[in-house]
Amino acid sequence: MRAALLTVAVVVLAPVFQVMVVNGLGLPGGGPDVVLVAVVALASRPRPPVAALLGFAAGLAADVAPPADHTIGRTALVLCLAAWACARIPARSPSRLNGRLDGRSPEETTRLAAGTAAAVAAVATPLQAALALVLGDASWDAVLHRTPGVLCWTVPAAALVAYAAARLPRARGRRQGYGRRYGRGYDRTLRRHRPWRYGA
Amino acid sequence: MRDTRRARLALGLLVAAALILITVDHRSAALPVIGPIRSAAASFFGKVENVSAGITGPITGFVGMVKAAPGAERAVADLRKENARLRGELSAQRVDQGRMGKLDKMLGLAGLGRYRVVPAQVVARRSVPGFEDAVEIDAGTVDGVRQDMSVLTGEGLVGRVVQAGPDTSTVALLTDPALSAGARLEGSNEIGVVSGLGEEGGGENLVRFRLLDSSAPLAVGRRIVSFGSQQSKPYVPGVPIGIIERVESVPGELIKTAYARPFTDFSAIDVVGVIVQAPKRDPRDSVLPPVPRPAPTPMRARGRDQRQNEWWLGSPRVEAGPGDRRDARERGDARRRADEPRDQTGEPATEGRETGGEARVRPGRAAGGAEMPGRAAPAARPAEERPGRRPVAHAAAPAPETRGAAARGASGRAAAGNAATGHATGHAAAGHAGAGRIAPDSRAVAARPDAPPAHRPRERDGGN
Repeated sequence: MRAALLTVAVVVLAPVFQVMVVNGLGLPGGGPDVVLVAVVALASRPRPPVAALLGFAAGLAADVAPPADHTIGRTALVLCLAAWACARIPARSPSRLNGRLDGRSPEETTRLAAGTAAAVAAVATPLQAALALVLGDASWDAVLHRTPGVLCWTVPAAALVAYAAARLPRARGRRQGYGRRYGRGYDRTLRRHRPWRYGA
Repeated sequence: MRDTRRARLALGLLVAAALILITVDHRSAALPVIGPIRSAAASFFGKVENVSAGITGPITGFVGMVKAAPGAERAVADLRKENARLRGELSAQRVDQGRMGKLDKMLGLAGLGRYRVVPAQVVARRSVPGFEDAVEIDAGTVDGVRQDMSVLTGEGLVGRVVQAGPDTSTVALLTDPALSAGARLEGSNEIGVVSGLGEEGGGENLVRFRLLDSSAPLAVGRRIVSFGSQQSKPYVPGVPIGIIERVESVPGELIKTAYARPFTDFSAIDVVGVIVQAPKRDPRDSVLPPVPRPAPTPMRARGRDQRQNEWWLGSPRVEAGPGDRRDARERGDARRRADEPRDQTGEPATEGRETGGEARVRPGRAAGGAEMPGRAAPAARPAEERPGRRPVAHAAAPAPETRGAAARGASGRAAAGNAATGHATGHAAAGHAGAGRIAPDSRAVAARPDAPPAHRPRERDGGN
């Protein structure tokens, strides 16, 4: 519940933060894309469909938050895909230690989340620029001029924020195990063999 | 992997929704679907942004300040420099203004006596204690200054020109022990000699006044004016010299000696005027500043009658015409004057001038005709400018009955650098200072309707 409230708050406030603080600072290169950073940081926890919905909502909010005059749905599409990817890649990638899913130590989990977030941000920013170009929202000149700077800010910011978010203690409901995702029997087995995943 | 299908379906739906939105918004901007969405979102986010502006404003402001810090430092340095420059300008302007006031005052005095003066500024001072006391002024023969001309300030006599060069002249001050000038007691015909004390003055710049007639009354507080030399060289008549501060009476001596404090502050002479032409008529005492009124506290102690006497005697003493003065002296008027508080003498002396000056100052500044002998030395000026560069304050002699007013008018005109016009301003300026201050005595009576008519004759009788 708290996670859901936090997510809603982030979805609503990220575009506001973007237009009121980051764009107001006049950073060299334009500053990071705050909405993208927030989405890739938050999307590693929920399941992929929920993450996609989160990304869609955040993108839609960024699309309509004034002052915005680009095509509605552009950021929603990109962020929806980005959030889905962020939720799916860690869940699907096997551990390097034993080749099994969920055989990862907490360190590996956080590093994986940060890496995924950086990669997704690195792909999503040019994708957004390309989409803006296709839809006629921006000119070649502006895209070529702005994208490198935004990329330079967004990718490290996404990595850092995702790493920090993955380090946060898990909510109690989630810490009880993986029963909802993989079945209760598997959860029990896991609890016996990998006690660190349960806070022990 | 049970959920994958549902997950893919959800993703597909979301992507499809996004694409539909894009298509709708991109293809048909006029469609009435997007408009309301946009406006609703705008109002919601607008509110959020309004609320958060209070929090984010200081943050962005602070960051902007930090970013602008190097430039701000430079700006502060620039402003400091500019501030210093403006400060210097302001103080220079203040000095100029002070000089302008002095020049105004001097021209006013010259106008009162109808002296024709050439304004000048003191550029150097030479003072060998006990031997000589002289200043160098920046006006010379080119400006019409010749040897043996009287020099005055707005307060009174300064000295005389002892040497006139083409651009500068040397003026020996009254305090020079080698200098002597004929002087006359105010309100009488008693004459004496004023000479400088030099070292003996003890740094107080006093001058010695020796009255030739030892029997004549000589009281502290009486004022002396210049007597005038033959053909007004080197001294013109009527210029205020000083006020008697100490009387030295040695029994059996033929000459009475007194020490007078000059009106001019000899330690701070700046703007002076050289009298290049004496008035046709002796101005007598008309150039003297108005007599200070007695202090109110002793008046209350005295009787009403006496107070009236004081009033009556106090003011018209200066106004009295030449014929009246001997009477005044003979009836022992001097004793009365000696009673007057001495500390009052200095302060109101400027009063009359100032009121007259109010009218003068403005035109003088506006017209700029009276050129300030200011920062540039005369030698630096182009030679062809010289003949006309100094305004000569000249008062055309008006009809006798308008003397008092016209004298002020003349001073006003002198400051305005316009000697031909301005009679009306003179009348206006003369309004307060008393229609009768310089007027003949008969008019002085007429000009005082509040005074008891029988008063003056009675005084005269009593005196005789």
